[in-house]
Amino acid sequence: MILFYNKKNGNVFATIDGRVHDKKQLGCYVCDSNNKKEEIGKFIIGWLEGKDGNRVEYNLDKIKLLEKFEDITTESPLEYKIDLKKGTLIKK
Amino acid sequence: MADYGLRISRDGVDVKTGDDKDMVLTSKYSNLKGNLSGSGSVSVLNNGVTVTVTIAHGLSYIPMAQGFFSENNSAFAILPYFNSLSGGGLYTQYRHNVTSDSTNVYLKFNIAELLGPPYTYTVYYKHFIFIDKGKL
Amino acid sequence: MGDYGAIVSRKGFEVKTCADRFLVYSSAFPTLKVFNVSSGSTTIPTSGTNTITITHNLGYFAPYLIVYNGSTTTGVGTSNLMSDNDSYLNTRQYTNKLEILVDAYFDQYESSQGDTVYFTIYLFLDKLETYSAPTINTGTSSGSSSTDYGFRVSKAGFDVKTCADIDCVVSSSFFTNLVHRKGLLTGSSFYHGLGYVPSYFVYEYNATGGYIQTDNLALQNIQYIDSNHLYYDSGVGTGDGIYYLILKNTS
Repeated sequence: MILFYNKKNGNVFATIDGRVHDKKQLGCYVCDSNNKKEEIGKFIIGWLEGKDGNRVEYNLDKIKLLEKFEDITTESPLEYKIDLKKGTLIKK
Repeated sequence: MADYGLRISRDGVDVKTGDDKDMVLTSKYSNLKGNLSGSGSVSVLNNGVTVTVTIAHGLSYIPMAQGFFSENNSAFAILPYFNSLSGGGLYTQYRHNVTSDSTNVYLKFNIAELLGPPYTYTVYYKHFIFIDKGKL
Repeated sequence: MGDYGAIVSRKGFEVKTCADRFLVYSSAFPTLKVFNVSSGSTTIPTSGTNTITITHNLGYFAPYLIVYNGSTTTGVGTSNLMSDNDSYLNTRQYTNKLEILVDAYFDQYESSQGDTVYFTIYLFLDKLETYSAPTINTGTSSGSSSTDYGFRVSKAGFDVKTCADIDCVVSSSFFTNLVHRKGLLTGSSFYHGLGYVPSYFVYEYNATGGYIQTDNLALQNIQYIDSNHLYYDSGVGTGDGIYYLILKNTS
């Protein structure tokens, strides 16, 4: 999953779903009137896959949290933010 | 000349004689192939100014895309959504829709409450972007 | 007795245990099949209505999606799903044909009378009838698999090894629309029971006219969906019900 956050305040405002992303998907982004393109950052939980099929892990220490986001629960990535000092995902 | 391909029928339907519509999968008919799906939230002021969520899709052509929205993150409705509602002393106009070009998919949200005080709605959205073309 | 058939999971999901909604394909769930993709155009009249007719002769109501690709004035660089820049598209789906109606007020704030307007039309093969897919795996997604190999079926005339993804019928690289439930809702709600908000299609039935349409879908509470129910208000619109097609997909 790719989580999009505002680099000024760490607020997570959108996601792109999935566990394995390719370079093309990594080039995608979400922005809005309140979160401009130059202000957004990406936090990935899962794998990035290259053309050769090799996969690089990203933040797999958060895989259980990703499963909660995917699960039929009320846990939503929009309830989280990025701790801008530590670069980690924390609850708002 | 005999036809060939892949055909898988629904439970209870004979794969050799069943109608194409009762196949789970048939190589005769394509499926919409999902490329990106996601969700998010955005603040929308009730001043009739459109707030746009931009999703860069990376496909270099106009794709087929669908969107849904909610004001409570619980009950969702299909986009587009054009409506005018009266109630509680307010007259609320909604003009929400989904557009796309060769670079982005846009979810556009516009709420106008001309008789009421300024208010910021949180609009929750979900989107599905397919690799299938939205313009041939 | 164990279930039999074939399943393919999305990348990164354990195929044996993942929930139904993370499957690309399962022999237990129908996929939403594209019958025909076509393009059409007409002009915005100064009065009356110009109609684009796609005769499909399917013999039943089928789901459809129409994209408005722009006009002479706006250009064709931006497309709208099921709407012009101002309101819903005026469409009628009969059992044998699909119509797009363009009147003098079509796209009234962005285009002009006399403009040529362009559309892309997706017509699906599936019949809008009562159907209920089984629920096989639910709940907590389990297992995060990093190894993957896949499944690919190309369209007729395309080499499966070399064709572009867009020329595939199905590919494990992309999620598909797996059908969960479909039917006609005339009561106030329908329990879909997925436990999450799914993707869905809905069309209002007009019994007098013998067609289904999307014009009224924003009328107050005529339709909306939550994590377990699809809701309908027969007191607004035609009152004849809504045909629905609920997918297993979520986001």
